[in-house]
Amino acid sequence: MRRNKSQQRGIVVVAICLCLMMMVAGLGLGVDLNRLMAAQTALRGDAEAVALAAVLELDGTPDGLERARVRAAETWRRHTVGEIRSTFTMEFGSSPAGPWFADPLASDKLSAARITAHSTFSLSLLRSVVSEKTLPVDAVTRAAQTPVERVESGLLPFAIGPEGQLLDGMTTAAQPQATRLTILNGLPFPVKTGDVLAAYPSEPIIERETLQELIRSDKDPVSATYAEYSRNGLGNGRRLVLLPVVDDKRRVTEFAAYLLIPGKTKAAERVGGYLAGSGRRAQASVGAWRTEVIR
Amino acid sequence: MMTKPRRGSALIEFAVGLAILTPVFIGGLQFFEAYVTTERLQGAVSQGAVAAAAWPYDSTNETPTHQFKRFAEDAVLGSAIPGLRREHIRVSMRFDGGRPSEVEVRVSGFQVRVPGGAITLDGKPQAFSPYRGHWSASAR
Repeated sequence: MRRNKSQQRGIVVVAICLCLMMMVAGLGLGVDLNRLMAAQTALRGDAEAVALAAVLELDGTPDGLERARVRAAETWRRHTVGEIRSTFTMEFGSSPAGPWFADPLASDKLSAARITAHSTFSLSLLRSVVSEKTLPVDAVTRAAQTPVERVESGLLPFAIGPEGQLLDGMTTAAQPQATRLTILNGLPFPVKTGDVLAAYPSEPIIERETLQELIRSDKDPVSATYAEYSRNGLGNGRRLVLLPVVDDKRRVTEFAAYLLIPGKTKAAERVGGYLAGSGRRAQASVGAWRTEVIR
Repeated sequence: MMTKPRRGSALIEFAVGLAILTPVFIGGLQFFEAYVTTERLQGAVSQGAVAAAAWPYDSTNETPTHQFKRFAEDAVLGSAIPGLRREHIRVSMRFDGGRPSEVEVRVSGFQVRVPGGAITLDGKPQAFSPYRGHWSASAR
């Protein structure tokens, strides 16, 4: 009895130490797992930003492909400041389903990008428990130009007629200021293929002046053709507008991007598909497009 | 003779053990909670940046309009993080080549409770997303 009791001395200290060690190990596991998840989320976010930035530049030209590479690298550099040993590889494809090419030709109708990002995660509290000091973290993401069936913003209150002429009369209000704001901001209601666009009384002077105002708000208000506009690379896309193409019954048959021509009354050059947010045409030759992460 | 001095010792040992382990346990929980909150904030600002990046941008410069900011703030607040309010969210637009290029959303002035006090997050977490919406930039 006496020996047993003496053996019990100090057992509480040992138990407390064991409990403390288990709690610290549990806390370490929790903290490191949380940090690991946070690092994976951040890496995936960076990869998505890079993929979106690259896809915004793809316009079916060799210049567009080069711009996509440059912008991807810039975006990656800006997003991963302070992180060490983070790298990414970029591949392009003509569809979000692939196939993917690291070194494609611009003529391959590229409209999608796949980013594979790698990083190294440094363990902190778990370093004393496991033999590894770092863990690899990877993220793969895809982004693509995807068609917009229902245009909800940016559609000008004009249309392109069957003969390719710019038709007017799509504004919803006859007030001059309302007409002006509709031209600058786009129609305040969604339009999709098959819709019949109603004709409203037009305000010819306001329309002409506002279209010229739109052209002047572009950083390149002078290039007479899209080829020149694109080659100069000065424009900010303000006069690259989205217009519906209608048949003789004013039914929308398709959408396309048009460049407003300076100095002419309601003149526009068709340049191809419209890609929201890019300031350039889409890879496709027709339609309204947006850039999305493919999940 | 031997049993008398041990009376109540188990109670004392239990009290000492509890006094040591309880603060460690509570501190550990607070520490973990702070990490989880920070990660949830990161997710929320990312969600806000991605949503705002597709929303029509109606300003001619890097300072967004009240309407655009409100949309981004609502997207962040949709994560329902306790204590996070509109005034903690900063929204800005980066311009490149004279046009909107990247939305930035960050948290500022938000306090996260940690063992022994609270830390104020100033400018972090933050998230960016390439702008891909319609730029109307109208004169009002």
